[in-house]
Amino acid sequence: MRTEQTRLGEPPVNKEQARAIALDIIRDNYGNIPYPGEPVLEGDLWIVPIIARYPRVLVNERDNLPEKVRFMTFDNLGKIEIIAANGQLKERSTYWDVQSAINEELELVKTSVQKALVKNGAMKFSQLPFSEHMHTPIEDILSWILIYNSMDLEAQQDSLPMDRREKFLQNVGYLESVGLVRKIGTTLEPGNPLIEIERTSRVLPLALSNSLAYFFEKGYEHINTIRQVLGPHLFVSGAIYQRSIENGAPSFLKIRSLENVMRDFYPSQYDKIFKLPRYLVQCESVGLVNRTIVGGESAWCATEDLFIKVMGEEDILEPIKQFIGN
Amino acid sequence: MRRTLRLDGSDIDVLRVPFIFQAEKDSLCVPFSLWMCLSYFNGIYENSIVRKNTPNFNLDEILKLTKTKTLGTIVDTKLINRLNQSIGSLQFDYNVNCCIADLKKRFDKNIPSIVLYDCSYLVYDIPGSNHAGVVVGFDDYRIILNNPWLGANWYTDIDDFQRSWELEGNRAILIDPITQDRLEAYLNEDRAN
Repeated sequence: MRTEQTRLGEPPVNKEQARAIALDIIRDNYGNIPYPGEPVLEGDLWIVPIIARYPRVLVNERDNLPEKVRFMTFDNLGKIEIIAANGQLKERSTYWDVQSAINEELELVKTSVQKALVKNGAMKFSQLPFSEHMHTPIEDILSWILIYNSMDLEAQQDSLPMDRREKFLQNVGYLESVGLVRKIGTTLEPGNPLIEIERTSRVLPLALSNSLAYFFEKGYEHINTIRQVLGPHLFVSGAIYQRSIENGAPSFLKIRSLENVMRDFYPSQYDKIFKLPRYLVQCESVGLVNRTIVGGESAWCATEDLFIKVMGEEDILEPIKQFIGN
Repeated sequence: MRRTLRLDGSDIDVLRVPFIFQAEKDSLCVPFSLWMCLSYFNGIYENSIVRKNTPNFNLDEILKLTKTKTLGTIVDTKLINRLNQSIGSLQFDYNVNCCIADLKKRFDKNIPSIVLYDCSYLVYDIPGSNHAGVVVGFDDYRIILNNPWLGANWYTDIDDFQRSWELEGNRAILIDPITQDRLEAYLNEDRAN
């Protein structure tokens, strides 16, 4: 009797069948990386989430051979709706929706590492040579305040082209959010931390780099702005620390791997590959990475002390904790 | 075409399929598996006609054929048609519900096969990631793969492999070299009919 009741309650297509149908749909329409999650019956439809256990191959860079594979789990990349009565597909996410969702997840991993690195390597980053990023808007504002003591925001906005005014105000907002500046009416003044930094820094270049360090440390959440300031230095060092976090120990990347990092971030700027050795030398000179020779090739490794600090950022690394120390 | 490996105290013959590591390109296991097979038929396989007529494609050329992106590769009859149109020396076939016996038969004829299985399940017992690899050898209880993620001559228990393969419908890309012998056999069969 109980069996009969169960059968009556079940839709013609059961959960496992729905999952199998979804798997076929995924393999035929998206690719071999996505996977069907747990089907849920909603009314007369099986809703099957599209998930992925995205592979990350960990390499022993000494011989450039794979060591192990780990899988980053990405949930809710899309969904497939299957009619429970006949197993027919009712609707599914588009290929581009799923691809864009997975790209966002992969970007989140990079971003998390970069935030943790910026926060903990703030002082080192701030010591990078100014010539690399001296025209960035954040430094423009800080330098102005350090030299002129205040800034007339309206006048300053008027002096900028229309397309840069919004960005300018956004950057003022970032600096204000960490307390380095404060707005009084339409005047921008140094905030308490900037006053203290200026007092303890003997010369203006040092005051600027210390205030930048403060901004990196306190404002790491504004990672897009910090990327504009630190650019390639953050991308290459971030890649080295991401590899280290994946391996669970300070690890190195060879120059060829770092060239690929540059290509990913600057797909059409070939001069970035030419400049890569200089970026690496500069990162090493401020203690962000160490150079080593592996199999006759130059490689750059995360530093032990910074790696430990970065790994300690549990909240920031939350999105990628699933593959830390597996 | 074979070499002998010493695995856990016993000697095992494996096909000399060149291993190409899928470094930093995590979703490209199908193109890399294909690349390994083409390198074998182009440079190692015994039949000189097949060697001569198998193209020495680079990765970009293979990616154009497989159309692989972040989500991996769609392995279907369309892909197989593109492969068959572009590589005249080999006949590709997409086989669902393939079995170990089929793979062994091919291995006995020195032909590698590409299998699509759930590597996440095989390694961590958690289903979720389809992966391609090239079958290069067997013994009584192990299957040996050139695994683009995990290395050359990577071996695992056949029963474990079967479970992870079943999860992905026992899919395989099977390859038949088009040799003069085969062509003659086909013509003879045609005449007999």
